[in-house]
Amino acid sequence: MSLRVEGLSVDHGQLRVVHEVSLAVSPGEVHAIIGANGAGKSTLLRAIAGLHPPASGKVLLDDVDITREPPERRVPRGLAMVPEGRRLFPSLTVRENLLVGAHKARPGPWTLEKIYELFAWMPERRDQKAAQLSGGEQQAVAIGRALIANPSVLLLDELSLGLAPIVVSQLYALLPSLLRTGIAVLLVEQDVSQAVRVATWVQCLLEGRTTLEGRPSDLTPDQILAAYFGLTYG
Amino acid sequence: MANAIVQGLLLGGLYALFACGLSLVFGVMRVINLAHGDFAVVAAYLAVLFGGLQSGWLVVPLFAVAGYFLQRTLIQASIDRGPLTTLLVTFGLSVVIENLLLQLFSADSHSLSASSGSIRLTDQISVGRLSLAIFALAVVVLLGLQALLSRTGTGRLVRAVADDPEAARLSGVAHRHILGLAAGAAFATVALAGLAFGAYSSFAPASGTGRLLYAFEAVVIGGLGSLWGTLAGGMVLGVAQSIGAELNLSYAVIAGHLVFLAVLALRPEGLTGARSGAVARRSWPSLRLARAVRQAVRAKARQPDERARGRHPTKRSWWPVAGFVAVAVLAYLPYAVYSGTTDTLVNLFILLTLATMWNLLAGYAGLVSVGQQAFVGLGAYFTLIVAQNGMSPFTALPVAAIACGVAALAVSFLVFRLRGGYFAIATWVVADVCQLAISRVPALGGGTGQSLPGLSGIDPALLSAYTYWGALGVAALALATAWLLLRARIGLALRAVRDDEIGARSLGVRVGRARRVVYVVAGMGCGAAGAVLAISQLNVEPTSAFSVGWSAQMIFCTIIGGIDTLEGPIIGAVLFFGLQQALSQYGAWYLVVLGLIAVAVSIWAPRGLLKRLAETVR
Ligand SMILES: Nc1ncnc2c1ncn2[C@@H]1O[C@H](COP(=O)(O)OP(=O)(O)OP(=O)(O)O)[C@@H](O)[C@H]1O
Ligand SMILES: [Mg+2]
Repeated sequence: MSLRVEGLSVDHGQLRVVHEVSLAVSPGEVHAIIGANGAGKSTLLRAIAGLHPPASGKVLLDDVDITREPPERRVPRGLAMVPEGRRLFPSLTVRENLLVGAHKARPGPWTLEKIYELFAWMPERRDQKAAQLSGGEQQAVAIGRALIANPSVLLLDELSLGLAPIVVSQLYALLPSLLRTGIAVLLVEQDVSQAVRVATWVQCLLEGRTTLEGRPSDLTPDQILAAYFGLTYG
Repeated sequence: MANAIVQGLLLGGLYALFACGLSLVFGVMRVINLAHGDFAVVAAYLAVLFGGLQSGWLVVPLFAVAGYFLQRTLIQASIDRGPLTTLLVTFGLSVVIENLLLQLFSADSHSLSASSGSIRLTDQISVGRLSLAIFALAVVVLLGLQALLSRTGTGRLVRAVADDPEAARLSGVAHRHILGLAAGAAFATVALAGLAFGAYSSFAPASGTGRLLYAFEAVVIGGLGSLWGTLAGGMVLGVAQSIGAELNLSYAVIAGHLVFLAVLALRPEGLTGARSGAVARRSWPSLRLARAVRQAVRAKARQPDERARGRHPTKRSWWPVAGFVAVAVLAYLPYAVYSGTTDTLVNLFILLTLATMWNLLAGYAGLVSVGQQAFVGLGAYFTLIVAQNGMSPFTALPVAAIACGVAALAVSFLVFRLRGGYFAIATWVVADVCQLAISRVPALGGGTGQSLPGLSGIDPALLSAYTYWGALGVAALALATAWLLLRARIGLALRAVRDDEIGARSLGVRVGRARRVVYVVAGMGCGAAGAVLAISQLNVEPTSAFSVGWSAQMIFCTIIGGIDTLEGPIIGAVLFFGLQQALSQYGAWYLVVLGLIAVAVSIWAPRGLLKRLAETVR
């Protein structure tokens, strides 16, 4: 078992945004969290990555309690995140962005060369400033920057944000090759059909609470719709 | 002339050396270190203590280490609390350092002796070995910094943290350590600059202020955030100063200031700004947007009753009543107590007026000015002018206020081109210009000042009472104006801007205009306070009228009392006044203690001492 979250609650000031959420992701699995805007998905992911200290609950990585560790110490333990909105270093070049990601890397399959192989356009443009890339290219660099640390658990927050559908499918098409290296993926996605297509497990959040979870094949679209918007059948 | 230009160019190296630390700290931590100049002076004094320039090998590493730890503790703590706190803390440090040096080394000036001698280039031009060495050192330091930032792994991490600290942490970067390293490098350059300055000219505890201004001017003239621009800016400043000195030795500094103001007026992005300015603009909005959004969301999450209690003076209907009662009681005082008491209270009222104005500026309009002494001094001098023309100095109260309002309006068009800490230092430059300019006017007493005519005929007891009523009136008007201003539309606009500037702008709030109104009102208030000061002292003297101490005091009162509440400055002025009376026999130590208190309060009790006490008791 790679990543386990137990009863995690997270506050923004006085406001509780995530209520006692639990989940577990193992190597080779894609765990998708879906939910409407403001459901608390990003907050949950940020708490798991260590950017936002939770009010209660636990985060365990390979059965080690890392709840109180800062994010920079979680990276060498094998937890990496692609944050919402990509958050590249705009004044650094593509290569420099990747090198920053690599500076606390664990030993593993991903190197600068391997990232360049994964995204064939990258070597040519490695000396361009990240600010000059298109949205899809930036997202690719953000993924590369996280992968190059050789995480055992990869957190992805809304890869599709602001990207054309075709670019989104290209990015998601990478998932199988990542999984083959024994990585566990926890992703947040607003695009439900995309999430259902790639995930091995779907968990739906509504106002910070889990309203539905299960294998995608076991869930009907109506069930998901109801859980997503908080509708109840009358 | 040619010689002056060459000397000026070389002097530019010294200024660039001095400015690069300021530039680095701003570029990476977004902190304007208002104590920058004072740290350099400390380095020079340490060298004196350790036996001269050759102790640089000890002082520079010592500064690097001190910079690292200062960043990890005090500076980081203030960064975590927001941009206002970093300005207050570094300003507090500046007051502490200056007065500590004064206490330890006296006000006498010192110098570091360096090998002299010069090289003749032509018949007219000869350059000092020392100037040449400093220039070379500056170029080496700039090249070194450039290489460190762009070619080393650590430099890359520094740039990453400067771009986006959170994303850097997600990549495993220990951001505080990295910021500490950057601060260490910056402090090493500060030490080098301090030693170079000490070798170049003599220095005294108060020299730090002037040096901060030069460094800042070099940075702005050259264009923000560009190391080589800083060198160019330093050279422009150096040439301006040495040509000014050629005309008249006392014009050197003012010539530099004027070139700076001209650049600010004509080309606010700096001389090299076209390119670097564009880069800065591209990377800024996302940062600023993120910050604004975070602040807005945080403000929304705040308890509604706290907002109603602490931040909406408009909901309090008892303010006017309490005000009238207080003013009535206080106005009766000259009939009831000795004039010694009322004379003391005059100082309290001046303080209260100043603090209320500064609270409007910084607390509500987000304009952290450390140059309000410009208007205090101008107010005092307008009073002198009125009195010299045979009118009663008391008629000068409204005249000074209005004239200072006009001056503030004019100044605002210059200084509003800069934001945050750069705005702060620009206001300081303006104050310095006012002081230097007025010291050159013999009719106004020149550098030594003049006593106020027209008051000698009045019976001392009556004069004391008039002065008291004048001061009370000014303070009451200042408070009433602040209260009314915050109730008016403009108050709402300002609160909206403070909570979410971008949101407010997009809703059509005219941010610039609202700020300008506040700046003008604050100029008027400080001018009136300056007029009261002149009358109560019966004398006007440039260094005390334009002392940066006025800004220190108004900031201090507002901070300990509680910023952005109407009663904060009142509480703060009373507390400060008590402290001042209690500590005044300790000389400069009293300012050291006050500075330390200000630093501590801005970090541990950002909403004021009383609120903090109330919280702990509860
Ligand atoms: N920095 C913050 N301070 C205060 N409240 C916040 C902050 N960030 C988010 N929130 C609040 O927390 C709640 C959850 O936000 P979050 O960003 O986690 O939602 P999300 O599910 O990721 O939404 P989206 O799909 O729009 O990204 C929202 O109500 C939001 O207003
Ligand atoms: Mg989100």
